[in-house]
Amino acid sequence: MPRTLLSIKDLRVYYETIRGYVKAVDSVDLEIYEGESFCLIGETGCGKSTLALAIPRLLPPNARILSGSIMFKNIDLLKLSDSELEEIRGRDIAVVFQNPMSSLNPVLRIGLQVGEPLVAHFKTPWREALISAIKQLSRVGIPDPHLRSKDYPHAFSGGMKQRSMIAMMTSCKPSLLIADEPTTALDVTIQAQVLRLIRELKEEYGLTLLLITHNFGIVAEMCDRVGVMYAGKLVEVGNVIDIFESPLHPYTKGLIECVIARRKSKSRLSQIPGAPPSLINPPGGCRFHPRCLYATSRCTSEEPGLIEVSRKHIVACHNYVR
Amino acid sequence: MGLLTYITKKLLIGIPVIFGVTIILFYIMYILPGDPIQLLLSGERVTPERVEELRRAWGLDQPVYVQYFYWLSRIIRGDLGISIVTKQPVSLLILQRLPYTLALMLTSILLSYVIGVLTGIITALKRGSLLDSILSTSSIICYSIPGFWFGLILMLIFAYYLRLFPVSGYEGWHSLILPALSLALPSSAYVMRLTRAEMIEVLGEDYIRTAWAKGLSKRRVLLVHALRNAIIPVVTMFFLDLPWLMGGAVVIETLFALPGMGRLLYVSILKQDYPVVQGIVLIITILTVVCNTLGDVVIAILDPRIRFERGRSV
Repeated sequence: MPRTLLSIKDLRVYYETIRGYVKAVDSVDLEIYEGESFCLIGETGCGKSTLALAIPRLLPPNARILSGSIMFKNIDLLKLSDSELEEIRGRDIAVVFQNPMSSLNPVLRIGLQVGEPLVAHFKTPWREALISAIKQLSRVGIPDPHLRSKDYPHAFSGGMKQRSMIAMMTSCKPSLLIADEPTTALDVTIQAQVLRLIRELKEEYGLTLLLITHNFGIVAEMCDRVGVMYAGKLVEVGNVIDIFESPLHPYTKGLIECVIARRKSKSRLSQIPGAPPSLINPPGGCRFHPRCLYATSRCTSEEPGLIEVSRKHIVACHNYVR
Repeated sequence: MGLLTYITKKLLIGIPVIFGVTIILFYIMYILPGDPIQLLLSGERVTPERVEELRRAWGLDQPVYVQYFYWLSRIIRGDLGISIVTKQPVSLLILQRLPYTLALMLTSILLSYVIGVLTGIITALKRGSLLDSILSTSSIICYSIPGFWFGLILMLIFAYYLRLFPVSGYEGWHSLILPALSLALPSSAYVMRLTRAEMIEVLGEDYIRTAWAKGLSKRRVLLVHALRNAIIPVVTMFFLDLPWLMGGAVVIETLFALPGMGRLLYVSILKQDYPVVQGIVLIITILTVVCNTLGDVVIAILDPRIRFERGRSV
């Protein structure tokens, strides 16, 4: 039985906007085990990034965490003070963000930015931290790390910036690495390299990986388990093989159809009818019911809970009865 | 490296700019109505032969460009001509007044930027609080009040009623405090609004989220990661403001009867003392060019993206 590293219970994160509360994450329960690669997948705006960024509490100022707990190594992250959080961020939980172009400080040298967490968390003297930064940059595949560590971010390409981000975020060897669509902003060849790098570092440092993506190719390549999100809800969790070979939730089925259909050259690309709902006033009952082919009257009125259909394969759908 | 080349380039560009300015300045003086010889004689009756002789002696019979080079070579030697009114050398007049003006300008600009940047940072961090509302509102008031009116009020309260400072004239460094304050307050309001806006913008940037994600202390995130970026436009403003203060100094020095260059300029314009006006305008333009160049250099030091023009690239 693998040990649980992170356990999220009944987490609700709403965004306060002029038009009302956006229910980005609504009563989500999730467990992540030590050493695994967990993937959160879903369409743009389904709340997957909000869920991920709520863990180190890096949400924008208009986000409100209304309920829930996030237990990380037996500490509830939602109850920590700012200074207690500072100690955990970057040291135990690190984040690689989506857009490397804007995620590095433009007026500070790369080496300084990469070495900074060591100074902040281990009181390493700057001289040593800069030497470690050079080693770390060389580990992530930056050529001439000695010279390049003195460069500013504008002199780096997108791929190099993301590598530097990864170097920076893994410099303290955290136990949990959250990668929020780390390759979305990069071109395809660089994507593969960056993903390989993340996988290598995961093995080398024994990290637990929480990867956010909307790309099934990345899921298949990187992950042990998958969580599918739809309109702020976690609708299905299971092993990557189960999810691909026997998806349970109608939404997951639809998503996988979209990808598989591309391989059958002549057939028309399959699609899920309709569009994702507004998260200010999501549909009652099961949030997927207006688009669901199997919806019954129960689906429109009653919200489905998570049911374990087979071992470790959980789904939130009324069509499955335990 | 790139930085040194950049600075040298900026300094070299400054030279032709100053040259261009002298040409324009000379030409304006040249086309102004009024014959300098007549002004020099100031109504004395002399023979036309004597006038011709004087014209030759002063080089005024030469073509414009020759006159310009005569003038320029005198300027370079520090000879700015002779005041029509007092018959004293212009350079001497200016040198006597310059220290007061420089002292006034430096005190007021330091005051306004220290006040402005500090309140700007505080209001940005306490955005939406009562303190923010109070400071933001009073900054609009300060910005709208003309410096001379503000000067009069300060004079009334601190010099007339409280008798803490002299009303006018120069009696030592404390004579500069009220004038410096009345110059600084409107400008500090502007600096505060700029700093506040920049700081709020930078705090929303992705790299600030990265800094938090690394687990840096609040102090380090705000001072090293945020302020370092937000301060760049404020520093640019500082160097652009410096020569602008001269305009304010004309009014404030006149108001407080300080023996500075601003008041000299005011008096000379009234008395149509062209050589003095020309000399002061020349000093102001050189000051402007120097400040702009200095600003470019400092910004290049603060912002590495600026000097990255054709340097090493990937």
